[in-house]
Amino acid sequence: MQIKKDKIYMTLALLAYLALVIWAWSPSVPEFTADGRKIITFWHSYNDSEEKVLTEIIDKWEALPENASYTIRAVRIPFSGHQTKIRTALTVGKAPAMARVDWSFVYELATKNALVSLNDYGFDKIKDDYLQAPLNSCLVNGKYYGVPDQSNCVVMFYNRKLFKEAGLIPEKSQFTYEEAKNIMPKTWDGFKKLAKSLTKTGSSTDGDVYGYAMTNTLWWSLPILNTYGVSVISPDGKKCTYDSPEGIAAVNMLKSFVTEGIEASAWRSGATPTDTGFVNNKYAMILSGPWNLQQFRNSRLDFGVALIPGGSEGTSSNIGGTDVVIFNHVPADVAEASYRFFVFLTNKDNQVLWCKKLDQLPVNVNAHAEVNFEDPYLKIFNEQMGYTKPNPLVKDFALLEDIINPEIETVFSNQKTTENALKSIRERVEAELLTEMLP
Amino acid sequence: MAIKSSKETLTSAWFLAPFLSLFTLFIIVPIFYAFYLSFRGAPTSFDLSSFRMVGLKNYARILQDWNFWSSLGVTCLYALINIPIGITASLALALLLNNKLPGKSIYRGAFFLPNVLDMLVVGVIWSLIYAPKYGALAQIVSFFFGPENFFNTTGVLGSPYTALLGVILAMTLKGAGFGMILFLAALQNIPADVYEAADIDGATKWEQFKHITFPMLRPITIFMVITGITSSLNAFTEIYAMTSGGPQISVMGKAVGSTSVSGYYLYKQFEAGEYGYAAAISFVLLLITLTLTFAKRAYDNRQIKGKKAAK
Repeated sequence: MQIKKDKIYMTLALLAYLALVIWAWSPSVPEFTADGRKIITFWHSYNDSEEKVLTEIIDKWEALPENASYTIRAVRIPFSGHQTKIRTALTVGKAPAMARVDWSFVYELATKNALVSLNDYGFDKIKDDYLQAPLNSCLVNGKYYGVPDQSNCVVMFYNRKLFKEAGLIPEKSQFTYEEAKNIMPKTWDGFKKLAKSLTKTGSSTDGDVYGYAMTNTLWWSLPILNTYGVSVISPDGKKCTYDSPEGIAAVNMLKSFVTEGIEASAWRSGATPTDTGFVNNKYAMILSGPWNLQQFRNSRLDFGVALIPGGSEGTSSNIGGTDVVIFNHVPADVAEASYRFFVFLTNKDNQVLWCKKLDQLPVNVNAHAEVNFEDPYLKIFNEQMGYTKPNPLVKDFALLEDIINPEIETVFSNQKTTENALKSIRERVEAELLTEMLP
Repeated sequence: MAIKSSKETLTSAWFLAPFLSLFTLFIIVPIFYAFYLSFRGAPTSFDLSSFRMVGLKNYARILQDWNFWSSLGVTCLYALINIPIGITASLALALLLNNKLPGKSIYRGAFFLPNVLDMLVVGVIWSLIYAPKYGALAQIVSFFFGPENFFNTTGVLGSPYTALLGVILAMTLKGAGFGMILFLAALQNIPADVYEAADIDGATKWEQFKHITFPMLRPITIFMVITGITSSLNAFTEIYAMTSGGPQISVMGKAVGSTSVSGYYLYKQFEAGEYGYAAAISFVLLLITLTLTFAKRAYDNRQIKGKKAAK
């Protein structure tokens, strides 16, 4: 009798367990809201301030009559590693309807047939509303696979507190456009002299201060490489031309920051990152982008921005930014609604709202007239954007970085000559990236 | 009796069923799936069906992959330094706290505490300690010896010659508490009369340690060597948190990550979407782990048999 009772309990326990497993296995996110709206999931990587504006725009979009049967569920994912997360989600069939991705990721997603072509919804008719440089990152094999939602470049940020302490700007002055134009040298030689005057090491009371701090990655080096007219990949995309005389000159110039002691070794493994050192008044100058304007202001940092000094080709910068894309596993009506949302998100009014609230550059050319470029920070960014050069277009930008960055580090740490490192880069890039990979 | 036994087996199976089903679902199935995946190429699209069959090409690619072999070399170096230091530190702590020290339970708790912390947290803390210019270590050394010192200019994690040692020190201090507990348990199981007999025979403390304590701790030492090999081949989080595989060192004209252990290299392949190749690497690492573990066990068994035969 006891055994029979035990068996009943055991069976009930097992059934309860199985029910739990089945419940856990079932999709946890419903497809519809309680009021019957279809949920469109949007993975984004906006920061806190950006997310607030995004929510405002989503609310406005959902209030429109044509969107009455949809709701957008915005889910924040970390920007760092978002490619891996999206790749995995797509592979196992758990991807969202739409996502905000780095410009360099669109090519891979499009060539692996993961995206909806926006030409099908008439994007080619409104494409001219967008800035050409960010728009190009969405164009793959003649079709548009995304809408640029943010475009940026980097400029030279300078710490006004440290500049004031060095007597370079008046104590009670405010940041102005004129100051930015006058304070930053036009050449790299002048920049090095300025950085040297700001570098103070060996003081036991105040701690060390460095004139400049840099990150050793290709994307962060592109602004400087571009000032020398370096073309990492040939225009036809078939050769690596980093080891050109311009490339050697640019890398030698980067190395001179290290050897002349004006750079904080921020490129080294385990060192204080550029943003952190800048906010803590340890690095006087760094390259950074508009995404940090709000953050630096919130930390009550006294800082300014200026055009990047010029090399043999004058000032220049890189192109950064993100695009919003629709994944092709979604039903046609969701894809269409998602497209409508992208157009709404980046229309003139919302771009003006976005840029005014977040101090960013509009991607919609129609919004340019209404964004206050009298703001000296935005004015500098806008001016620098005019000098940007396209980034190298390759099928896997991350792999290009993985090949280049370690070799450049060996140059900075005096283990290799610039010529040898750039030769190794050319050989590896041509063997591993510009030809088909094994298997 | 036989019926009762089979009933008991059945009851045990019912009890084990929940665990076994989860174990099968999350451990056994992925192992077999990863093995299947190791014969598949990089996906041409984001679809499980797009992993085309490539036979043994992934394994052949491993043979030609300089970066994999260099990462395996770094792993060997990591294991060769980490395991002896880890065991020595654990044993030293255990011997120290096996004495009648005042407040020894507080020390035991304090030394074990870092083991409870997450590897990532420990890695980040140590990165901040090691950071050049503004890290705790750089500040302390600069205070005594001035700013022109290695810890301030380059930093432990900034040089390819010290970065791996820096990671090992951090991991030793994190893991020594666990080893200490194992050694303490084993030390307390050694009968006191063995030491009394040795005392009567006039053995010194060192001779007692060499001929009694250490041989009696042999099973724990073997266990720690084997788990040390396994954890070295699986090392990832500490590298991810502290160095991201860097800094670079030029070996035979090629830039190699001085802390890029094979576990981290495997992660990089996975991150790049090379799932098939990453799976093949994981099975090569598994094969290496099993070979080393069985070789170590076989060697120890032979030693024990040899000693028994000598007696």
